[in-house]
Amino acid sequence: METVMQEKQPVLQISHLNKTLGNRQILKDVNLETYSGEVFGFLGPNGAGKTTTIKIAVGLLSLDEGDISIAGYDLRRNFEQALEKTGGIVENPEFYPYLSGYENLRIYARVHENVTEERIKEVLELVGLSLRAKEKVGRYSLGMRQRLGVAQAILHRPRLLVLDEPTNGLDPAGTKALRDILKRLAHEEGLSIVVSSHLMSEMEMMCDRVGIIVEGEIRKIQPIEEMISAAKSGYEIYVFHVSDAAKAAALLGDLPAGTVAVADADHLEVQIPGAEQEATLAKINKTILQGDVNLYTVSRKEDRKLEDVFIEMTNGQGGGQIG
Amino acid sequence: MDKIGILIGNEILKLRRRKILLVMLILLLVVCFFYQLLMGTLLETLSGVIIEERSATLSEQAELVLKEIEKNGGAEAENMYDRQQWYFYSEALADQIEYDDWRFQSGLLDDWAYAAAEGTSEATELKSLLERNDYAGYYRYQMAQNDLIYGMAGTAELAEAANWGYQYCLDHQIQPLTDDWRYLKALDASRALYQLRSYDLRLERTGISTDPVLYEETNNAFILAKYQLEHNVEINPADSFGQNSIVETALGGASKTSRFWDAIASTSGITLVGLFMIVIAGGVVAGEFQKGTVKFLLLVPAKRWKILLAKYCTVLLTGLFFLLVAWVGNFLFCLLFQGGKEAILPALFVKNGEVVRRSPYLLLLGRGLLSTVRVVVTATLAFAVSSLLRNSAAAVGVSMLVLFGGSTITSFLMLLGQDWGRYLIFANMDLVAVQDGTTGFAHQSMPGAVIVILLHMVVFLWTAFDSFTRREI
Repeated sequence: METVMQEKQPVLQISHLNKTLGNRQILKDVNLETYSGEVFGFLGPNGAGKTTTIKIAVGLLSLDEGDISIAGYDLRRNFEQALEKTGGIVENPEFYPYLSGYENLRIYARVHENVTEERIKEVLELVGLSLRAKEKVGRYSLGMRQRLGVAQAILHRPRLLVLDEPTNGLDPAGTKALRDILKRLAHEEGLSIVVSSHLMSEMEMMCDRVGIIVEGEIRKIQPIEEMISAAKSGYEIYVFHVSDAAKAAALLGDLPAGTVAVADADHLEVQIPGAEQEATLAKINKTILQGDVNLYTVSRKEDRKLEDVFIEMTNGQGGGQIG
Repeated sequence: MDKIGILIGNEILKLRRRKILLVMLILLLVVCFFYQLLMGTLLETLSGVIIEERSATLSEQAELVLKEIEKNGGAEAENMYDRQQWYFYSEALADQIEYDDWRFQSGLLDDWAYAAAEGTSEATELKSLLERNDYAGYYRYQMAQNDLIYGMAGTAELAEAANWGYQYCLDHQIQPLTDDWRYLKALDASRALYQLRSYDLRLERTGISTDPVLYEETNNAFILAKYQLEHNVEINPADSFGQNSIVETALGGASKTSRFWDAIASTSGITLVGLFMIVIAGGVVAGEFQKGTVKFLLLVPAKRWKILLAKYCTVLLTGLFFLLVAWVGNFLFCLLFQGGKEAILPALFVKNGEVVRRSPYLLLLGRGLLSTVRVVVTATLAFAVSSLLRNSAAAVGVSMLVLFGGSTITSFLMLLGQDWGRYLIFANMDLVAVQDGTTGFAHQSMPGAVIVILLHMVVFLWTAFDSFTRREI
């Protein structure tokens, strides 16, 4: 992966993008660059402007101000060249229900350069729809349509792949399969993939870099590892299962252990700074036991950190959707 | 530009898979079939039945009517109408005159009944013509009457024109039967000639000249009728295409047109094609929004105007295809029901005073192209409406409302004599009617109609393309 990262080239370049719909400013000076060989996660609560940005990037919406180029082609001046290099699913994948999956792809293929019959079959094979390609799309399940959508989006070997909420309607197995396909396309075939989502956990599993958008503004763009390690370097939360949480909390009040919170009658959550974590833990355990409180288990509250970063950044907005 | 070709191919591919297209095609052929069945066999059968029934009952009816009038005094009845009836039927009975007799068909029996009831001096002469069954004498009597009347009015030159038809029939021993086309044609020619002479006379006496087009067409009508008589041409397919409509309207021509070509030239199936166009054009843009497939449609490396142009071309191509089916279907079914005897007749015209022959298929082609205009305008209107809406049912509904509402309003304006109604698109769409002069607006002309149509088309297309290319999806 390191080697690919080194030869990365910008594919989608968005600069100073502004968009107003009605009298509401949806996007405020959005700047964004995505590179070949990476999966870029576009993260934000509902209504933050993810879909609007994506729609503008693929020409479904007009832009008020700013510049967008795809694979070096300016979207406004060289619309057709730019779109030739772009594939995507916006909102839900929509197909003509009275045509078969194969025919839908064929219609799409005809408008692009150099898409052969073999390529259509190859792509159908890749998403596992070969056997049902002759069936009318009207009879497909949502998951199958989602897979056909992916097939359509990569059919013409685009350099940029834009997927808006791609895991909607997919079961866990389907989600994993999609994740694997996307990672392979980016890391092995060098596509630049933009995936939008409001699910941090999903981003964490497939993205190399994450951009967080809130109320039409880009708040942060960072590689996922940096984001995780930044989250971890501060503190971690440990959960203590004890016989009397309130008493234990009182005991810990004297220790320099970080913030202590009583979760319920027998659970205690403690923020422990990254440095000297083991020492602090040992000290806490000892204090609880010596204070005549039973300590049953101690566990790390895993992966909650990244979401906390997200919540922090979105000012608690749309917190309910983070899972 | 080859991208537009590909996009059109895609649109056709999508359209072909819709069952509605097949349904429309079948419906169209069914309508053509029944229309031709009606025009061919049924009308013939019906008119045959009527004639048969009539000819069988004149003498029977005479007895009934006479019995009734006898109660009122018979020949001495006080009521003038009763007396007339009495003479009419008693003569019919006495000389065994039936509906198919020239004496009935020429109006001689009527003339005599009137003269006898009024007690005028002609009664004796008419009675003797009836008894002698002398049609030549009747022609001579009519001519003498004309000479007398026009002579007294000081317009003797009109008498010659009015007598032209009688003279011709007299010379060629043609009986005054309404089912003899030569008799009717001779009267048509005579009527045209009379009209010409009266134009001349009016110019001479009052200085008022006649519209040169009308004068020429009237002259042509005379030349053509004379030609048909002299060359024994009963049917002229050109008549079915409204080629001589101005004169026909002016003269009230009675001669027969070709039922074969009438049936083919009629634009009955075209209304249906227009209707289909509303449905297809209505769904072609709005339907994509309704199904959400518009994102599939637009997420391609093709500018929006190209995508919309491809859709528009597809709608027009479909319309042309339907029209072709309608015309060919009409023709084949017409051949099936009426046989091909009249299909090979030449159409006759007058050009610079000479009668020229031309293929009626050229006329059919011309009419076909004119009828295309209406379908194109209808489709364009529906297309514009469709590209403004997001629901195909609504698009179809609005288009229908506009078209039928507009046509109704235009008809009202026509009835109310509001001449400005001719600037509305609905009065101009049917170029066939404009050409035939049957739209109902007196001042309508072909160039005017074309200008109105072009202006509307520009507005429709501009609306469609502007809204579609700017649309936020």
